[in-house]
Amino acid sequence: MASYEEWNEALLKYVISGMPRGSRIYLAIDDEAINFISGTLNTLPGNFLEVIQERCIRNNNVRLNHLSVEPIIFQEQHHQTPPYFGFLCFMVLAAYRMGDNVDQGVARGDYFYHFNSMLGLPVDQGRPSAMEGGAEKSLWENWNNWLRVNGYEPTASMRGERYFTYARSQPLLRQSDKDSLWNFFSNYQNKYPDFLDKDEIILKLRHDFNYLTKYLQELIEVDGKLGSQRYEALADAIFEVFGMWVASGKQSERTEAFRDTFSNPLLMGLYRTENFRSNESQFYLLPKQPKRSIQDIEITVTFKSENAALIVDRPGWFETLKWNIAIDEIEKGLELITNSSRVANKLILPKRDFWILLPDPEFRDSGIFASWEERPELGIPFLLLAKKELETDLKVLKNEGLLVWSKTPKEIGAWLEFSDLVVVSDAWTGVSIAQKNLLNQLRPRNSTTISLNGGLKDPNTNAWLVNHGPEITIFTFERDLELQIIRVGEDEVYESFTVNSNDKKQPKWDVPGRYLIRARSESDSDSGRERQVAIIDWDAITLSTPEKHGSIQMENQSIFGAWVKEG
Amino acid sequence: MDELWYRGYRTRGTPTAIADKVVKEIKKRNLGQYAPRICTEPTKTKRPDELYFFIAINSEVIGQPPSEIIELEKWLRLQHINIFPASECIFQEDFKKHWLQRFREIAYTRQLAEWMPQAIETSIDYNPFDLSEEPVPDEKARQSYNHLLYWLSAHGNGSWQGYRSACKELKLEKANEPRFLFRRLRSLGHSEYIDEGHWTIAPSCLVKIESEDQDHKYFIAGGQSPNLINSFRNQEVTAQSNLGAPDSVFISFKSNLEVQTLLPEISRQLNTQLMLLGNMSKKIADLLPNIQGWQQSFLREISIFPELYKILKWTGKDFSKWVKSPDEFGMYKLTHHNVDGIPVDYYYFFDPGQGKWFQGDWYGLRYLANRHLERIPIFIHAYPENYFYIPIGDRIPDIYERSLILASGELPTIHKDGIIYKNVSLSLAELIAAKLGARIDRRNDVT
Repeated sequence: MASYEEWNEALLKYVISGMPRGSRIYLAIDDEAINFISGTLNTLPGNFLEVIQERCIRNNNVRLNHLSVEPIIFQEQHHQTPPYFGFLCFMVLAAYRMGDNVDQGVARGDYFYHFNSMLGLPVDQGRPSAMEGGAEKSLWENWNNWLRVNGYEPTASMRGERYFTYARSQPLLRQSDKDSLWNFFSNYQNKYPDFLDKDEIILKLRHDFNYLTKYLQELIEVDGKLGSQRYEALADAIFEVFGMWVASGKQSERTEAFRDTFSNPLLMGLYRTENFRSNESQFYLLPKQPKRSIQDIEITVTFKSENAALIVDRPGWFETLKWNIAIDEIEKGLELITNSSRVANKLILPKRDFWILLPDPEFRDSGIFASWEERPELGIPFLLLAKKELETDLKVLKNEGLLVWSKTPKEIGAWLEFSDLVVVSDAWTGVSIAQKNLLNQLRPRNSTTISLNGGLKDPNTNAWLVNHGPEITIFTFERDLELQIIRVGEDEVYESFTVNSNDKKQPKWDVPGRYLIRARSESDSDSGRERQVAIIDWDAITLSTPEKHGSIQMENQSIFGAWVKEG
Repeated sequence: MDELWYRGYRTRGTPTAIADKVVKEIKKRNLGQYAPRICTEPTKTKRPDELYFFIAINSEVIGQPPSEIIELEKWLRLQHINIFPASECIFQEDFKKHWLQRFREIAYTRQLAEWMPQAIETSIDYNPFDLSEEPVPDEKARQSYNHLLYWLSAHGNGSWQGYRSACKELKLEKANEPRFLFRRLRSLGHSEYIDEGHWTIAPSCLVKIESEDQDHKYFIAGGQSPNLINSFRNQEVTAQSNLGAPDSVFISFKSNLEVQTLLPEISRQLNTQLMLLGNMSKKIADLLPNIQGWQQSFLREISIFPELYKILKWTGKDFSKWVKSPDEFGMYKLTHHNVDGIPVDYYYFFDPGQGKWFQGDWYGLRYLANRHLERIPIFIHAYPENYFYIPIGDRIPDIYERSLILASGELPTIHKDGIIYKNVSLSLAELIAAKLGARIDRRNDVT
């Protein structure tokens, strides 16, 4: 038997691990997830409902007040696991079960039928009386804020005045959808070769729309469209099923053995720096962390007859591997073997025709570009490494006024490196180029960008240092946007400006705390675009571990700073 | 954007197909400024025989479409797309109320207004090894130097350009100051280069300062933070901003036992490994090779095409001897113009025996070149102050200089035409001078 707290911790790790900062986070907690987590906790799946009942039911009613927490204001609160998290996951599990039972005689909209039955409450009572007035709302809002504080984008939202829609906004693929997708890939395996990436799979599924189940059709129709809020999350979820299907040797049935996402290979991105003597581009491999990794795992990778351990760098990413990668290796793609038989037994650099390399989101001025994210943001310069034959397509996009660049691209073998590309339009409909995937990936996700540049950031807390906060630049199509900087917790407008696209603002950032930057136009129906900025004092920084190999080698000893180490 | 108004059309077909068709035609006619967006029903319609969509119009007078739109409508009619009654001039609220409760907006001509390119500075520092012109450090920037060290310590490692950006943010970027500053940080045992694009902070440690008083005095080298410094009670801080570096932090203990007890405790509190080191100055000096060995082990061979550069040889005084093709041992300045037309200087060492070029510490290359020009430097050791004087024109390779600086934990000061290192024992001075092939004068003072 595991405790509520143990479930809470494990569920949070399951949801957050491997997710880079900036990701939109969904609580995709379905029965498969519960099965998986119960395995790592050495308990049975049913234990989850037992601990929820034990913690949240009193006198045949729901009790939530002991799960509530104060609003997150201070930076040090950001690592704590929210006590209500397990309950929110339970709410989403009910939403998943509701989806799976649609065709089994239960009304589609009857969320509380499932909610009550899972808690052992009378199924037909509707919303439990202790939750009248939306007692769960403050928990969801706190969770959304917890995500923002930790650098993620929240996704839970309410439709109308129906509080349970927070939970309904979270599920992506249900178990039955995963089974159905698996069967579909098996039946049409000639159309789905191994090397497809997630955007290509979505494109193909949209093409094969009529062969999918009704629910999948709806998902693909609404969320599988570029620009949709849930596109990335859905594409990731579908790609995960595809990856497992490929890893299974393309088995026709999705049996229990293939529901373990850990057998998936890990993907690697490209990391690019420039030699400051020769100005040559240097490429390295940037491994992604495995998702849903509840336990810490040590992985060692072998390449060019040498071993290297994967070291965590930041959420979602390991540190770059030490080997310099040549352009022909990038062209062919790479498959590196690890020491692990179960978790991430391979690291894969996919074979691609182009790589979008974005400035380091945590340190834009570092001069480092890597495939941190999949799409560029409006107005933010990025690099594109593309095969020469894509130049024609890129020129079409330039002529359409979607992209701009000014520097002559650098030739690297049969590839071109465009070093100052910028997306300047979000109007990509109706443009036709040969490489559809290029079009999909260059298309920006948002039509307003709040860009935070410069300043000095503490990498350990993801906060800026006092008096060295970021400069804010807005890229937008709107005019006269209202830009507000609000101190979180005090709801006090710290500074306020009217801005237009390309305007730069440098607030003083002279008081440590947490700030919300909000850009809103008069025509915005919702809250507009938001970013959070945390400011900390110099006293709050912690020391990082230095590189292990940054030393001057002598015969049997090496000098590292003031230290002489053996070997 | 001015207020947009709409004209509504009715046709048959799927929203996607119709939208694509109309968008393409508007693009073809280049009408983006008059018709910046269209609104259609969501992709599926319950009425396959009846599809509504709306074109947003941007005109001087609301309700009067520009002639270009009138022309477009002629083409639309040929496609069986017709304007429908009461939709000649409507607003979004109208069609939301009457025709489309849910709709999809396609904006196909929007571009960022007044977008200006921001140059990506992929390589703002062409040659960090160029230490030919040292700027005067900014004495007032004491806090900035300290903050830079804390920032480096918090990051652990990073790119050269990131380091330069931090210098810029802290206003330490005057001329080529960041390069010299990094050399000073290395000499103090705070940081290292990893390769030709990255740096790392060095491990945090307490380094013993030798003295005749047999006291227990140390200085902090490597990564540090305000919390680490404040963990020690008996600390003494010496500002070094006049020399272009962070403060030197000295810690005094009453006994060896106190050091041995306190260090693990602080390491645990700060969750970092704080090392206790002895006299590293002597240890490093013992380890270092002679100048020929330095040439063999510390220089890095590089591959260059000399014909692409203008080449000047070091004469012992300056780079005034132009050579077409180098054929002598020595240090050379190679200049070329980069893609932006900016002249960039590189300083390399040429070995005609091997026919190879080498890169290394700028002062080290100059020292080596002078030795090949048969110049024998004279260093001065002053006792009892234990000052060690090196003529400024004979500044020694960085790793030897590190050995001298770690003897005191403080940067050397400039005095007349020389550099004075503190707390350098005669034996250390003799050892360094012997390894570098220099003569040593023993005096009572360096003046």
